[in-house]
Amino acid sequence: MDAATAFPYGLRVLVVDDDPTWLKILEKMLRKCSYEVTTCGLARVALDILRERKNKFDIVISDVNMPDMDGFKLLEHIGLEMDLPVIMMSIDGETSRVMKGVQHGACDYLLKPVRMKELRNIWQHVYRKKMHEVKEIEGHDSCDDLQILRNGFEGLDDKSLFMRSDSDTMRKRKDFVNAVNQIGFDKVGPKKILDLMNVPGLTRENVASHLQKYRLYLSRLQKQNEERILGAARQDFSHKGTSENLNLRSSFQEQPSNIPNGYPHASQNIQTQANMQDSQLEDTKSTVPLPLPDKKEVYMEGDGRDFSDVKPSLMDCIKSTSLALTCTVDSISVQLSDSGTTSADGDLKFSSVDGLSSIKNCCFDQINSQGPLRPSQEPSIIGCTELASLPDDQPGYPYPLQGVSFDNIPLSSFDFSHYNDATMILSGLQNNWYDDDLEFSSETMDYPLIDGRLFA
Amino acid sequence: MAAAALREQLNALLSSMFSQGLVDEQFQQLQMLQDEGGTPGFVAEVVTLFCDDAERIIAEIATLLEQPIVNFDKVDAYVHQLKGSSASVGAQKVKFTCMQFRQLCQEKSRDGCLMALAVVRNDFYDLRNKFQTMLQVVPYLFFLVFDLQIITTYKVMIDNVCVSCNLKITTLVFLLLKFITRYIMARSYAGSF
Repeated sequence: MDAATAFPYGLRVLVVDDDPTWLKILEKMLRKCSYEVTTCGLARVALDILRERKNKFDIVISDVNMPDMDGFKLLEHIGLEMDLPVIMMSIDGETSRVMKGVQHGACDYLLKPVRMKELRNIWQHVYRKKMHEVKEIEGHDSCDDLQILRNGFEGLDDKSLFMRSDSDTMRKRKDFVNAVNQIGFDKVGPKKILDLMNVPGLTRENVASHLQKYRLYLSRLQKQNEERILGAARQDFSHKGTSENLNLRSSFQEQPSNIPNGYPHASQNIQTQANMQDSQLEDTKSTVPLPLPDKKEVYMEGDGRDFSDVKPSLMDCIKSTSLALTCTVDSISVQLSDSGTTSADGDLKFSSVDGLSSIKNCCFDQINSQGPLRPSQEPSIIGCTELASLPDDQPGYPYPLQGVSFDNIPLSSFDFSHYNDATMILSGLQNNWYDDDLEFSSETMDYPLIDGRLFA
Repeated sequence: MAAAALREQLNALLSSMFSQGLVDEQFQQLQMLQDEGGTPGFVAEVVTLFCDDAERIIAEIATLLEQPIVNFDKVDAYVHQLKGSSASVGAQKVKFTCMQFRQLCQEKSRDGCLMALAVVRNDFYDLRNKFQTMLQVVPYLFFLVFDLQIITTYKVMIDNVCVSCNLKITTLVFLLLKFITRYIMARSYAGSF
């Protein structure tokens, strides 16, 4: 088939790295390999991009050390939500780090400085994954499945292979989660899940591996939450939390209407939710009814998949297994900040909603509040990535000489200023992006939601 | 020709940078990327990005070390960042200094870190000066090439073409010089780097 021979060209790569120099170099190198490159300086923005433009990327290359989000966390998110192959990169080649990368699901771990030949071969990971998906699908004998597949994929072009696996995987995931809930998380086992799911062609091994991944993810999240509760962050946060409390509680009533207007409102809203809930949590573990369930509905329409039934059931199942979280202000707040990092703009993916059982409605709120904002942010995100790739779009050199009079102008000085302008503007822009982000990440360590997004 | 002399100087500068261990093989890779890609501004852009970024990181580290209680983990994170940046352009000496700096961060010694910061700063400024010299010299190479020698050589050709095309000589000169510039710029970069 034609696609097989033409495959490596035009591979759509997303590069995530906080260092602008590396972004530039990697972009150049990947372009040389005839791949389609999008660059991104922030992990959160990268997640947004991936969620916005679903199925528009084939592979992700990410740095390990990033200020806003750990590379391994990003790796997990991408693996669970989008199931794209992810390659990790670092200047640090210690075995423990590489091991960690592989454990979190990285397809490969490259050492910086990266060589061209290593980048040239990244397509193999995409192909390998594709082959795995095809094998799973081809295992299905039932007509029903084929029917579903066919119905779901009318009008697709030759990229249909990717999409088919995607939709199918998400459907299977949903079935999986439903099955787990039904059985009860403690008693779950691959065989039981398999029987309940009743998806023909699915092997016990598939279910077992997925279950293991799911368990690892949950346990890791819980461990993190525990550490956070015990950690020093709690003190800082409670200190800040109480002051925020006073200001925001009063304006809470107006919050819901303000949500679409601005991002800062969203983050404040979440804080108020947290504080409000704290007081109520002492009494009951049930959550506050939110004024925003309709927003959730509206938002979901835009998305092809329906997760509304998944979340409540998930919540119940996780509740039964999670520790009895002593509902202190701190723990809730800390969990929120954790949820901020892990489920930033947590869309309707169950993975981001995991592990935050007692803050169920806070999650919903987050999702709702951050949902409508995304469309407005997208143009700016795209703007930045486009700018990052701007120099290469120019006609080969930054010295446009059309219309230059050669009579008397000292050419060197003229073109100096022009050149300097171009690069300084670009680096200045990227630096601005950086500086502001860094400022905020240091000041507002406890409010990771407030990041460079304000400057988008 | 003046251009040849300048090019020689540039080559001497570059080879001294290599022999002193200021830059390593990665820098050569960047040059190759530029040459093969045909984008003359690439190395300059990357180098500029690196210089700005490193400047910023060094300032941050200095601020952190001035605090009454030093957060060595943060300092370590920044040094790691600087190490990564320097590896991107092949700034070998800076990279090695960063590695030593990280050791001192592990030991949590403020004085040690301040000393290491001073060394990193020196190394970085030294390298930056050399980069800046390199960047300033290179554009000159393009335009020094436009000395009378070339124009007189082409004058006869220009006259002929003007007559045959019925073009005004100024328009023709513009067009011609545009194409020549493009060619020479590509050649200059390839030759000097």
